[in-house]
Amino acid sequence: MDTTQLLKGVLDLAVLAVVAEEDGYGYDVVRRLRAGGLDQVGDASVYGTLRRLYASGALSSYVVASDEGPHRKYYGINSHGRAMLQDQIRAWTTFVDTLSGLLPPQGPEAGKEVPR
Amino acid sequence: MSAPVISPEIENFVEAVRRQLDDLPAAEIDELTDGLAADLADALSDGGLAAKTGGGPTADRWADPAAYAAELRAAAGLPARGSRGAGGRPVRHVQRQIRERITPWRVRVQSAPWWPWVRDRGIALRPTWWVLRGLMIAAVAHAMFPHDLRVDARPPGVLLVLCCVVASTALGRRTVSGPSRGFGSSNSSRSSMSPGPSGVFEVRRWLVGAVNALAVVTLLAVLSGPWPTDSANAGDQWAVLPPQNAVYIDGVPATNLFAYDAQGRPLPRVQLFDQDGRPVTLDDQVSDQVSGSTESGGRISLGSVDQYWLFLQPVVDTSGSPLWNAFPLLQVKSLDEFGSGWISGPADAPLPMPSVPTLRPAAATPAPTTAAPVRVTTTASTPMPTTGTSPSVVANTASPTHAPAGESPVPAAPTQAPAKTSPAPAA
Repeated sequence: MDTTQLLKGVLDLAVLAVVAEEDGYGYDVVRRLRAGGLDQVGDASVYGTLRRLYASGALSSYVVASDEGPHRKYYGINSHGRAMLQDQIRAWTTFVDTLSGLLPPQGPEAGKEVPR
Repeated sequence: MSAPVISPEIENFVEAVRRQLDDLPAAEIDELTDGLAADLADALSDGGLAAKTGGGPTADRWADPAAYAAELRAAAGLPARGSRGAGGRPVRHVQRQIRERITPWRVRVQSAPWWPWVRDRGIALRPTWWVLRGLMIAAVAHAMFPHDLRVDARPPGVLLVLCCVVASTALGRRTVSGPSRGFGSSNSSRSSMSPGPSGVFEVRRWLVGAVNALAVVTLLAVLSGPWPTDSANAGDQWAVLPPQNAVYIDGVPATNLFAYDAQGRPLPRVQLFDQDGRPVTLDDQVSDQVSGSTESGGRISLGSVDQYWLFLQPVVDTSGSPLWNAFPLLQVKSLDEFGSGWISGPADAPLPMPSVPTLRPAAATPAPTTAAPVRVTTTASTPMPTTGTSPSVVANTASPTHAPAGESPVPAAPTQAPAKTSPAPAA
């Protein structure tokens, strides 16, 4: 099964969850997603998602300057983003429950895709 | 978190990604790629994780900035490159096509061994260009403005030049430190909590481009040919090249003529004609009798006091018409270049020499009729006779006359009015 297609549908949820845990810059978010098991996630997809969530008002962003290197752009979640996260968690949980009810009892594939 | 090292590969990759996004508004490109260099550097130094999971940016992935940019914009919810089609902005489309043509050459040039050297020299010369650009814009403004804002040693002109140079330099500095193009030099702690107004960078890019183009065109025009230093005469100067009427001495046009009699004494007024009886005038500018105060002497410094402008103006005949072939022309000093602010009225031009050597009487010369005859040292015929009934007398001198010699093509020259009473021509 092509998990990258599955990932596309839940990347917003995953990114929101990671950023809600702690502010992070682009690659930091990528690293935490991968560490959490989403090792297929592409970094450009994550950066684009961060940008889109920011543009939709779910995230705030700030730049941290560096003395030796390039600056890093950090993202943090705001109240709008938290509300969005709660909505998506509910939708995801409902979806998983629904799908689980359709599947035979042995090891549903989709269950492995839950980020945490 | 330790600072990541930005390698040239990363910079090139970020630049390539930006180019793939260049159909988007500049602010959007900045938002998408701001901090990308640091992220990529982290990913690179995090190679162990990337290799283990197989999802990180690996070398072959880096070879394809287009795919990377496509993923970036897809995830960001932006339209795919080129999908805007006819509904998009045609200017951007053309821009992109041009850029795609140029990119291979650009890559080739930038990978050449001499490129860093050239680039560094270029960066070092950038402030020079800003100043030059300011000067060129000032020159354009000078040419367009009316004469009360002229670029010479007067406050408005100096102010204009200063303003243009300062503005150009400020614009240059802002452009260099503007949108985060140069990742190597972005140590500034700009914090952007909100997305910037997307139109501003765009407008400024166009503005800078237009200003640069104007400055380059002006610079080329200045370098490639004669440029009127005085916009008041801009049209005339072009028209004067080559002059239709002029007296050249050693390749330099004469601005005034002085006659001396046989005894070597200066003749205050003479009228000169050529072999066909045409009046000898110095150049078209001068002989253009519409402007009686055409500037011919240029500007002469009076030293510590001030500067004034020197004019030559014709003697008038008894009917009041100017005689541009009567020499020496009268001299006028004016505070401005239009001849309106006279500080001394029409006066005799200073003699180049107080006297010249006396001529030896020639046997072939016709008998003189006055005490101070003009010796004609050739046997050429005089173009017109001087009649005794209308002597061309100038105040306080004897009139140089000679006997008629042969046929004359034109009637007698008009009589000059005394210089002291000549009315001032229209300024």
